[in-house]
Amino acid sequence: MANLTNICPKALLGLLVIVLLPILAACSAADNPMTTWSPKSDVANSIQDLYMFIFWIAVAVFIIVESALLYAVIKFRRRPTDGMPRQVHGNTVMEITWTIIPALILVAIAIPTWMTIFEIDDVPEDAYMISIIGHQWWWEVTYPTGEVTANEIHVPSNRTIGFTLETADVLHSFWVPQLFGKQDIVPGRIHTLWFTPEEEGLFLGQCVEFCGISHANMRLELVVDSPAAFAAWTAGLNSPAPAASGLAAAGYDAFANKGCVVCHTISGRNDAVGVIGPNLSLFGSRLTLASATLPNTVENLTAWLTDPEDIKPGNIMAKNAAVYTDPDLELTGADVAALVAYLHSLK
Amino acid sequence: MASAVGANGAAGHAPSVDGVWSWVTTVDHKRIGVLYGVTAILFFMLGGAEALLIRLQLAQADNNLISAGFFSQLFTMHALTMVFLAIMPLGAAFFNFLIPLQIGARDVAFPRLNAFSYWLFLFGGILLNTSFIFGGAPDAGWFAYANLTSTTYSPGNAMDFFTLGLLVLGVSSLAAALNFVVTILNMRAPGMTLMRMPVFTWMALVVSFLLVFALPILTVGLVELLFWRFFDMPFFSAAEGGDPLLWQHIFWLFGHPEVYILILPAMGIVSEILPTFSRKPLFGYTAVVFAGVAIAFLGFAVWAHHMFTVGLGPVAVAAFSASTMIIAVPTGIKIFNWIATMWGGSLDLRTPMLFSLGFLALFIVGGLSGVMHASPPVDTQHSDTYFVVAHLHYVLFGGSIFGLMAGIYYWFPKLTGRMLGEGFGVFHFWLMFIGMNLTFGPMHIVGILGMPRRIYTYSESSGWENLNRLETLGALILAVSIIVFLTNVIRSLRNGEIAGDDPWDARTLEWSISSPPPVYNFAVIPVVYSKEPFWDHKYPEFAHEEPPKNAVAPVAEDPASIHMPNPSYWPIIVAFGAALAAGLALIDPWYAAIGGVITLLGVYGWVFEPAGPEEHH
Repeated sequence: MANLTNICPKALLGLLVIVLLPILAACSAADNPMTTWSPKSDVANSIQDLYMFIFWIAVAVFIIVESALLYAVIKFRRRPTDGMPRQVHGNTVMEITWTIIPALILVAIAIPTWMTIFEIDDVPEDAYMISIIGHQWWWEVTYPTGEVTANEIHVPSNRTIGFTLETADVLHSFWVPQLFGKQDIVPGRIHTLWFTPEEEGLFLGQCVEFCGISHANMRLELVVDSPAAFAAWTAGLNSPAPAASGLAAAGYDAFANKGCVVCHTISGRNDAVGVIGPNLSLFGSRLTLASATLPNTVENLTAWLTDPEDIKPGNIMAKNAAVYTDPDLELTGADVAALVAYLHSLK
Repeated sequence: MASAVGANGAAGHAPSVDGVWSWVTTVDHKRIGVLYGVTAILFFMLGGAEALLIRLQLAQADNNLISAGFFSQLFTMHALTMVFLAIMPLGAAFFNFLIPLQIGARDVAFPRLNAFSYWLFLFGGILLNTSFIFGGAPDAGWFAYANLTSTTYSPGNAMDFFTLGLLVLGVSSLAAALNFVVTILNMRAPGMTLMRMPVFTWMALVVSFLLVFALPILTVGLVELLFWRFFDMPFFSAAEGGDPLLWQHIFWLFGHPEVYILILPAMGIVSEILPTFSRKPLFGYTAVVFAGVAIAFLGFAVWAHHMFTVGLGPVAVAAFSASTMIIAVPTGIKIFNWIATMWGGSLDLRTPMLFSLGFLALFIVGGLSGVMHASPPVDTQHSDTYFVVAHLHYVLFGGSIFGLMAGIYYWFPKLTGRMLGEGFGVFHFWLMFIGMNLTFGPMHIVGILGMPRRIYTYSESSGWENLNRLETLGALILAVSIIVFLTNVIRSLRNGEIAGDDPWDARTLEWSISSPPPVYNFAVIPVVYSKEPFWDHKYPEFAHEEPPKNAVAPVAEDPASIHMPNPSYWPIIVAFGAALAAGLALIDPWYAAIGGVITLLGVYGWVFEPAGPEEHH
């Protein structure tokens, strides 16, 4: 076992690297859109400051304790010349010392922890409140002025944003790591969450409480817009969709004939007022589809409408919509093309 | 004790020990320990295979290897298998084999109940896993949060396999725990006061009490879930006046003590190995014992730290944050005392010691990440991400599994009479140490980078793919390490070096008898005057406590006159009836009566089974 002393320091170094690597990795939010180490709001920064304080204490304790362990292994490893070691049974002073020091360290961690708990708890009164309802597996978004959308949440950059969170079915958890810590959503309760953005841009989030087999496909995008862009966007949601022409016009009809209107709403259409599925107003301007799992391209939307079960297993459209359950009503390639053209015309 | 060693060759009044039937009817704690151990290792390999499939699916972004539905079953069953069918029964294997040997007893207090616990564990484990064949395994996570577990969101009977399987396993663990409590409190050798008990046995006592208090809580929750699903009693349905959070409180009030049920046996093992291989007594025995007791008590006061993100309100969250941080103090005491045990010692770095050192090095990492998410605001960024997966595996793999492996290498010679191969052992250790860090180390980073737990797929743009590949590579190395371990076991069983009674120059009573021990363990029940009776006997010049002047001499007994309990087939019949009742309830609750009748008949036969030696055969 002589080689132990050669290998052990390397293994320890490896451990150290594993602990410290996040600092390097998390610097780049461009490559890691869900990183928690690139906070872009007041709340996320408070949490990160607290974490960094605890993190460096933990790193120091790690180095001290692992070094002591390693030193003991190397220094006291058995040699042929060893006699019987002194049979020490304990040392009260030392034991009290290594009880009190960790306790003091924990008090030092607990105080800023408690301060942060209360600091980020209450939603400020002037917050711009947006309602979020979690569904298996998508997000319904309702603005205080009544506009409804899904999965792509736009907020203005000049205000504190608040959320009321509810669920339509099972537990979900709402999280955009760069902007705020997660909040679980429990049936029968209304939860709240808030943050003040510090930067405009696109931030990614995801459901983080297991909510059934497509839990992995319940993602979301949060867009922090300039006040002007945000105003234009909400105005767009309110205005009727432009008149469809050509292939899109055929899609307009198919949207009614094929039963899509039963579950989906599109602003400006009196026949499309369903609320079971996501509101599709301004769908054409959305960046992604299927709860932020795929870029909103013609190809992806075609694939989604052709076989939604393949993209999001277990979803209720594939399970319940007549066009997917009744072979006689199945969508033809032409139907899908028309629907794609129509949905992409909603801008 | 010298006389005890000398008397080992003689055959006691022992029942026949050959053939499968002798294993089916055995009530010998050592054989039941072997049954527990072998079964647990088989389940450990099953749980490991499930983990490998998970890792293969996640090795690549947008991978299609495993379907979303099967993936949910895999991560649910991986956790259930590792917790209830691998680590807990491995602990039970050690308790069974070692408690009587360490306290100088000839068996546990209730040998037939002991056999019953094992068979019920086996049947419960099989019941839970047959779900894979009958319509799909449980797939709502091992935590099974309501209301995903309702008949609306989990139709089919996967969740019924979950409730009934865990209920059966719970009865098994409860019976075993009560047996160990009674054994430890009543059957210690003369002179072995509680504060002279080996630390492993102390931790066994603490774990058994934890089980006795924690399992009924889980049982309440499981019965409520069962009644909800079978009889529409909406305990956890918000729409009907119930509360989904009630389940979370119940589950974690069981679930957090469960964490200590999984780690304390390993801590007990390490507390035996470090002194032996350092040739020094455990530093601060009293502190280590009471730290274990304190951890157990506090373990019941921290459950809501699993629920920091469900919206309990700032006051509750602050309080549970404080209670959670307090647990770090006794945990720290243990770690410092272990290092102090080695300090100034003469460290023999053979395999049991290597695994113990691995335990220490890795458990420190798990402890420190635990302190991080004991801070609730930080936890809102960590909870339900891979950071927590990393944390829990550093505790349960780096901690529990490394500790249990250390124990296997340490006590294998006592169990079998042969040493496990040292070369293979060292190779096994390094493969496992490297594989473990490669698998679970990067999970810290990928968690910091926002990767949620329990997702079967992720997109390439997430930036998680490379780290996931590394983790899968680590998991494959772990698989190889297990193959090396099994090879070592099989080779050593046949050709291992003959161990002798005391191959490690150890300190506690089990090393004073032959390897393997005779059926009756101790021909002469030892009289104990110190914490380390065997060490003090071997090295009186280095003894901590000398025998008092008026020491009572051990009572010599003719091994031929020692009566051991008769084998019995009633335990397996009662266990079979109980498991059958649970299995048939899946078809129709009324059918459960068939299993109930078998159980009752079994209990009847059990109660009236003659106890005397002459009625046997």
